[in-house]
Amino acid sequence: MPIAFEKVSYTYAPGTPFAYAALKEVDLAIEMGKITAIIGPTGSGKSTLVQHLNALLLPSDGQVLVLDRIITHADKPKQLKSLRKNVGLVFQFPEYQLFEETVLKDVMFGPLNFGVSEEEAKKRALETLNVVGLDPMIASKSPLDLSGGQKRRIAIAGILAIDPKVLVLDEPTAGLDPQGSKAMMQLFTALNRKYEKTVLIVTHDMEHVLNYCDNVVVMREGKCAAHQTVKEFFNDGKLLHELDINVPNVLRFKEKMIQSGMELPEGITDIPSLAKAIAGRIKP
Amino acid sequence: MSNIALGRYIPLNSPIHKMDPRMKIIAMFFLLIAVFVPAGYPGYGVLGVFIVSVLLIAKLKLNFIFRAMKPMAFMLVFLLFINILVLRTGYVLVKLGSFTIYSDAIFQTIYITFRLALMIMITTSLTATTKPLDLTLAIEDLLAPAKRFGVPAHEIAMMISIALRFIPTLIEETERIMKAQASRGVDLKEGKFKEKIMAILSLIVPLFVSSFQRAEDLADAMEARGYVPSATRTRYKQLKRTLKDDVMLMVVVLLLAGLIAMAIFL
Amino acid sequence: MKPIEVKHLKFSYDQETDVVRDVSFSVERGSYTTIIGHNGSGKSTIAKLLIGLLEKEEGEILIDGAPLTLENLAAVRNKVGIVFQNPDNQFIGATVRDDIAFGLENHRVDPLEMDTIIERFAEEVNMTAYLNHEPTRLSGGQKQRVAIAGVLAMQPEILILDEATSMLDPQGKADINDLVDQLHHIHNMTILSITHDIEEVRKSDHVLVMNEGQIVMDGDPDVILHRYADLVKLRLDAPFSVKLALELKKYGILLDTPMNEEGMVEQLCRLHLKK
Repeated sequence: MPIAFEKVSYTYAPGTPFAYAALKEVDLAIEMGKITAIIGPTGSGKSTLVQHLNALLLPSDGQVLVLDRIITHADKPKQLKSLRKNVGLVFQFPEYQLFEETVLKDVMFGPLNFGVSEEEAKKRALETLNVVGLDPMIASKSPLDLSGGQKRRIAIAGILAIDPKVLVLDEPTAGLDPQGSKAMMQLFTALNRKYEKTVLIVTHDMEHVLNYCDNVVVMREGKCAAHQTVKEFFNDGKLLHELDINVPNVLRFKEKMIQSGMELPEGITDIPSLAKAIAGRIKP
Repeated sequence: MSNIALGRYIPLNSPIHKMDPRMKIIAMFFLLIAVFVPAGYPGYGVLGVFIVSVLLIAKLKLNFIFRAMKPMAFMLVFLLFINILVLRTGYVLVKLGSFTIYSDAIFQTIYITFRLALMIMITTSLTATTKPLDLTLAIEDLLAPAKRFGVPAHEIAMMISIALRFIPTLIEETERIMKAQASRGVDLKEGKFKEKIMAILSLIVPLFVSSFQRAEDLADAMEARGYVPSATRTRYKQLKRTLKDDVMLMVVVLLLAGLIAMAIFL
Repeated sequence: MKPIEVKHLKFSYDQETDVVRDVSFSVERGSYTTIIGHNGSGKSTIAKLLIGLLEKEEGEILIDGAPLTLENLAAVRNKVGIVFQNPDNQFIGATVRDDIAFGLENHRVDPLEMDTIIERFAEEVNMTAYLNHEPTRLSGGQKQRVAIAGVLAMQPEILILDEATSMLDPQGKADINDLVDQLHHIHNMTILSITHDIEEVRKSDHVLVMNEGQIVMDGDPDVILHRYADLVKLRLDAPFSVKLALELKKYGILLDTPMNEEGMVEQLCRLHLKK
């Protein structure tokens, strides 16, 4: 049950003077059960791409395979809702979608829309509030009274409560402070490892890609410019240079050391392993 | 360019487009008054020719008139029936068995239809040829003398121009919220009544909340840049009145005077 | 006379929890001061208090030696420009031109002179090609550049940036950081930047660390950013080089310039060759 894009093109405002081809014949298969990062400069088509996964956008050309469905331009809206039960999409700054009287009701909103019973929805809501690291006391408060970071987590809980197999997040750490950012990425890792969800993260943060993701897709001008495991990707200096990637600090420093004459092994992905490798060369 | 939505600005290069918006607004008022001067067929004929000429000079296509009248077609037919039943003056047009249809009924309806069409043409000749912001500046200038009576001309203009600036932004935001809620299973087309209400709430509440935040932030930014509503300010955009504008207004005034004369003497 | 001096400032929104508690600090002329702190530490509130958008409960705010009062509010806002976080919510005009003009209109500048001023400052922030663009056609970084131009057009001496890059993508962030750097060096503006960006802090002259409404650290970034354990406790991060240096310490490798990557590389190489 894969996720795949087959020659998918998407044009905004087709047939008008404002027509804009955001995706151009994208061919891409996403590995299930992993955390895939989707990176690329603003305007490269990342957001357009992920909105095809839950059929918010239908391809102008080509087809999208999601779980057991094939989505094409001809799909009718009626049939698309069931897809959204299995592919949860969290937009950037999702705190803006909260609207219910209480946090609990807001988190229940999603599952209720998909036909879950009120009792079950409540159970799921309390569970997911816990998973995102919020105090259960918060359930009876108004979502609008809380801090930005808390609101964001509530919004994510709201999508988790739908219990999708695939979770797609568009820049989930935008605007968060360093600690909030880290907690968010650890949550997604847990969702993948513990709850076996396929996770896709659109991000600009190369550190996150290196530290938390298994695979990486690079979008450029509406096309898929690269698709590899994170390990392969960050070891391919030539590709990184070609794609003008802002390399994570660890790798940047490693490169500087290598340029200055110190040999360092592959497989360095974080500060501890970098320090160990350097120390190994200095005091073997 | 044949789809002219009612009221929307169509960017073209015509003499009417280039005219001073203040004069256009004033001219529009005079012309609207002219529509109600009872100058009979000759009067309406002259007025009709004048308006159509203006629209043609403005390079606008005329089919918008029909599109604009369409929603009112039903009402006008209804009016026709009422008039046929109620207006029993004029000469007899048709006799259907024991039922008589008099001429005045038909002609009154035609009059009203024609007046409506004229009003639509007159207002469109303003809105299609003038950028919303220029209209706002014109309104600000025209309301300025009323300041001594407490009319906050500048503040009104400022509110309108900020609203105009944010319309596209708000539309984008609405689309975003709709997509976010659609991802949560919101389906505006289906569902029971209660579900539909929740669906609408899920759109409106976030929009309101973010709009309030936006308004607060804007107010802060405006204050920080030295904005004081009641203080005097200069204005970057200046409207220029030329001879052409004066001539145009004169023509309109003469037209109105002529129609009044016709009404009195014919 | 310092451009900004704050003494025992106190502020709360609802009379219950103090958002700003007994804050005192000063900013030197021509310096680049950064304020960091976890979300909710009170840092943005300070920015609004400094330009009088919020009224302090207690304490003193002195701008160029003069206390901030209702009477001199306009004068202070002339001297202190501020750029906020949300690029859309501070863009008032219908186009770039109109937005830069807004501040000029408020200051009753002669309309005939406005074009020259607008073009000059648009040039300064590299937005000349976009003068007639509406905001919906601009990226976040571009809108923030316009915001800076609008503020510069008033020729303030002090520039406050209230998380001005938080909502931007990396390109936008880099753009704005470069621009502000330029303003600092070329125009000698006094800059006060509220930020999350630890690299920006490293480059600044002076850093204030806030926690729960108070200033808990005040001084040289080189010293303060070194205190990794303390920073973590305050829910902040340390620069990469500091973290690496601390990790290397575990192996007995001691570096004396942990703030400077180039220095670190050099030292490590020497140690490597020495063996």
